[in-house]
Amino acid sequence: MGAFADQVRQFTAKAEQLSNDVYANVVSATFNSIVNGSPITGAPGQPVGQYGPGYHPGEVGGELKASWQVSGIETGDALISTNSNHAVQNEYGISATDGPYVQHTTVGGRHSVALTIAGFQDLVNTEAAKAQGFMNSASGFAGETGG
Amino acid sequence: MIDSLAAHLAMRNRALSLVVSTTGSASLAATTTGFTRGTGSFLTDGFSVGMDVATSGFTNAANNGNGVVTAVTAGTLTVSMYVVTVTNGAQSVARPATVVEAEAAGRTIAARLPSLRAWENLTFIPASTIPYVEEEFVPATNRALSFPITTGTLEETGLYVLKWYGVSGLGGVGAIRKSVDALKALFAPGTSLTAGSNTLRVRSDTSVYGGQLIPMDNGWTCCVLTIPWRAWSQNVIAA
Repeated sequence: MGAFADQVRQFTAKAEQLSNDVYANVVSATFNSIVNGSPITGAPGQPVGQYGPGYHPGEVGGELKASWQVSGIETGDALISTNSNHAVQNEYGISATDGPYVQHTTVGGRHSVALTIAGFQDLVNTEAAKAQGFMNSASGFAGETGG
Repeated sequence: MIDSLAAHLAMRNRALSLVVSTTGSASLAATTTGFTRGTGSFLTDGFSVGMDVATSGFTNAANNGNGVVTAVTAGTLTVSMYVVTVTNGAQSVARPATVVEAEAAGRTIAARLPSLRAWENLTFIPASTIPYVEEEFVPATNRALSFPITTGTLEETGLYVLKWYGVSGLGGVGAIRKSVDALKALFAPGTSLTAGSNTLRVRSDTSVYGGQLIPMDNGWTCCVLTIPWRAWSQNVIAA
């Protein structure tokens, strides 16, 4: 009986740890989707890289990408934010001047926040599936055939 | 895979069907500054300062066209008419006055999608103090949902983004909010649109949403409407 109780305690502790890991991994995946892009959400990530011809020749961008940050993971209330003035314009593809929005790099794109929101459940499902596989493996349930 | 062009145009055509507010077929008169009516109410019909309106049914051609509402009372709609022409890439904007015309039935004033539209990959020049709308069709994910893979179901998702540019300082929030809300209603969750041989659906797990008003430094205030969509098609692997 004591051995069974110990097993349940270990299982519970493992489950709680995995739950926390899933949460942290979802935050990380969300952040990465917004900043670097994600095949799960289809977000292109923030524009960065060598500028196009005639636009800051020779310079490498990255200010917008570097402006994104995560805080509050440890409190369970994660906040993904940016302090860049260009973030809203880039997210929505709206120009600060008359005329169309122009992207000056071939890397990244627009609407990464919206696409990440639209694909958020898929991010959660992906991270939960990873944890599920690990849980099965760790608990020895993987491969059981019953009976 | 879905026909992306058909999907794009299906979303655009849905937006083009927008009616924010209208007099319907009504008895209306024209003055040198706009339009009047003896019965009914422009306020009750939902008109707001800053709306882009189209007028039709008037005898004098100068009274039929597009304009921006600059004042509204129950019986009077003050409108600044405009005609935008682009010749060899150069844009000209005329602001013709309306012409006095006695009240008669069978005339319509309606606030719809602005007549100035920045469709994707077409040259567009905004005209000062005239609202306009801009679109983006944003394909995102594509994955197989069922087997066998050769005839299985593909699920594609993406966004259709409409950006409504109202005139900063003209009429406050009424025109932009009413217009974007009407657009939002057109793309209610679950709305189905035919796109070639496939059906595009406005998602309901995460759905259409309008953003806050974004004041810009070039005379516009922008409100973005984001429409997440989903479509299924049969996978075909080319021989």
